[in-house]
Amino acid sequence: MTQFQRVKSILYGILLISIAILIMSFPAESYTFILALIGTGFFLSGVSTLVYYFTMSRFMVGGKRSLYTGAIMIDFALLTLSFNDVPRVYVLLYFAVLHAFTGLIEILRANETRRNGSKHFKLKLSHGIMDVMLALICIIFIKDTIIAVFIYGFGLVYSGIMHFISAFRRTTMLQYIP
Amino acid sequence: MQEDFHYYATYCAAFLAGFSHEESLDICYSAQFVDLCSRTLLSKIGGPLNAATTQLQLEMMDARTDIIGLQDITRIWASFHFLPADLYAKKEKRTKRYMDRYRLICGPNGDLLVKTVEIAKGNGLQHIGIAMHVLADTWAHRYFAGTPSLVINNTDDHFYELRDEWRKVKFRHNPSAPDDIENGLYSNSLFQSRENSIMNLGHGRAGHFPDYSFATYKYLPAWGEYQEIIKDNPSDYKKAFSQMIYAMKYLKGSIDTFEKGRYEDSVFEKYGDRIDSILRKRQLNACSDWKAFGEELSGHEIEDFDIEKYQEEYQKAGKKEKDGTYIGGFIVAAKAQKAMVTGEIFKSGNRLAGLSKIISKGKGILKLLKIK
Amino acid sequence: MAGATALSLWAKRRDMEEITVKIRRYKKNIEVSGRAMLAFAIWSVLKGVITIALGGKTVWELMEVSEADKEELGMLLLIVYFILILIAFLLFVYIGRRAISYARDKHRKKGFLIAAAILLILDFIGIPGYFTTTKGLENIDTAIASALVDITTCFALFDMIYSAIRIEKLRADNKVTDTV
Repeated sequence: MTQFQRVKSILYGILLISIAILIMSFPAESYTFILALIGTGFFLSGVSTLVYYFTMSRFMVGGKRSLYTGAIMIDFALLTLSFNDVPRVYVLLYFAVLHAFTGLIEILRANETRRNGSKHFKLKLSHGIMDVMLALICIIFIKDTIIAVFIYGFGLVYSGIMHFISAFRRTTMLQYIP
Repeated sequence: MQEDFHYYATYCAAFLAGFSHEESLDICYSAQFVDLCSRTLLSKIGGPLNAATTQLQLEMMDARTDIIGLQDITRIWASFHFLPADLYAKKEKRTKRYMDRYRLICGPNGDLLVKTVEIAKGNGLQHIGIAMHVLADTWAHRYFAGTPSLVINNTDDHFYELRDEWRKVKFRHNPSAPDDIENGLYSNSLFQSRENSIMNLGHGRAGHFPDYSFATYKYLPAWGEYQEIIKDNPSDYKKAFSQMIYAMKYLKGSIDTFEKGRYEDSVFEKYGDRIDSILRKRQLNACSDWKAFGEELSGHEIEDFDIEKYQEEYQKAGKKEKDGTYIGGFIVAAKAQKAMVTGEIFKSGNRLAGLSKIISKGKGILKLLKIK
Repeated sequence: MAGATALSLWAKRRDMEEITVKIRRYKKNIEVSGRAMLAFAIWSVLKGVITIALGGKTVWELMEVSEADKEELGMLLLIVYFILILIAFLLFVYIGRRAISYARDKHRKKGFLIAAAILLILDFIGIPGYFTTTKGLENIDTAIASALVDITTCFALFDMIYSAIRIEKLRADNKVTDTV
């Protein structure tokens, strides 16, 4: 990583954690903000898919699928952003499905790691269990919709910490004498 | 390629190039060790992790595909298993982002191959073994790149194997089940639309086909603009074998220069049919056939590859004596190979293998320290 | 003489190879466009459902039916509306599946191209409607997104039709009959 990339990673980590603290401090007001973030996330994803098509996959066999995927993603994103008041229960259901799915995949991969004799499955397994627990919390507290804000905030904190750690990973610089 | 070629066939090639039985064993051990020297193993024996020449499946599963992770993956795989053929390839109307990946496509007889062989000269048998592994893989793994990239390494359902006629291959995604070559059941990595997914590294999308010496197959590579590639492994493996002999003759000092595109085809006058029969035999693993051939050539028994053979020596050696051990020599050679390849990739303006510090030879303190 | 024959044979082979490559490219275009049709079909239905469920719009608002019309012809309009949606959905699916079959040489019939052409014209004509019915800047973002999807649909349909025409022309001109 260059110095610039490290600084960027640290700043991004700090930003995510700050946003998480802010939204958890004002949960009722933060709800609309979270919806906007989710919609924006999808929008950026759609745009980046289209950019990927024009810069890369149009040269690939069957690469046009990125174009079509990107268009649908942008439509979905802007549709999400256009909703003024999504009933909170639907947002919780969305989080529940997302965390349940992610958690299940993590648990399966951790299991495969363990079956292959590695000892490094515990972290992955704990991530998976945590995700599934978050999904269960979403469903149990489905009527208490402020929970959605805390779950989202928790996700941001985790992501911020991972970016922080990433910034301090050592890059090996290889010396090459031609 | 697999153990049958990297270990036993390399032994045969080394012996035919004029190395003794013991020297050939050292060379072929090193060649095979490239496929096993992972961070997990280095961690176990207390070796430097940046000397890793491969990544285990588990390490790959845990590998991040952010910028550092991708550079790390590319350094290892491009340096040892998918040596780029042409770092300055040109293609019209392509973005730099695309060309950075395109230029990492592996192929034989590239400039990097010449450098790989040349830096091995006079640097020990372990370095020769590494060079032979890299050389052999340029033939087997050609048309794929050692960096995770959908737009380069993807294949689609246009995939045929030549048996009596061209038969369509339908891959299954069951990595734990071995390929059933008799019934034509093969596994490959799952399609992932994400550009930098690990599933898009190397020849995963073509399954194990590149590593089967008997296989002749055709497919549409993602970068190929709908041109069909016909991969004739028996022919390519033959070329790899004869080129290894030629390279090792140079490394032994029997010939003065190593040039790309040259081979030691005279070996086929006497052993052509035998080698051909081994390569074309439809089997998952040709170890026993190559071993038998090698033992006939040298008159000595070729011991089976034992991953733990030199580990205790390395672990027991003191800090200053480590470089003098077998694995120590391998580590020095691996670092040199990695530094050369990643340096050349960096020099070509490509950042996919990370940053390299290019130091001019003979400057200041480096001259004093005699650092090569 | 023999050399000239060999050269001409080589040139012929090279030309055939180029034609084969082109046909492969066009077939892939048709297949991908076919899959896109299936994706657009599913997405259109999902979008309608999400809009009604979460967007606060009723079916009547989506149909842009006035209160008077609703009272007079309510049920009939609803039935016609859903039948039209169903026909549109089935049309997308038909075109998509036929295109994929055609690309894989399982079907040689080109009837789906007529349906594709009709859909292309209808879609193209409907694009300006997103902007003429938009009230100021209020819904401009969703109008743009929907127009983008429709433009992409038009592109996919055009690509499909064009590629199919090119394949037939190449086959006819060069008497290519084998599957590639």
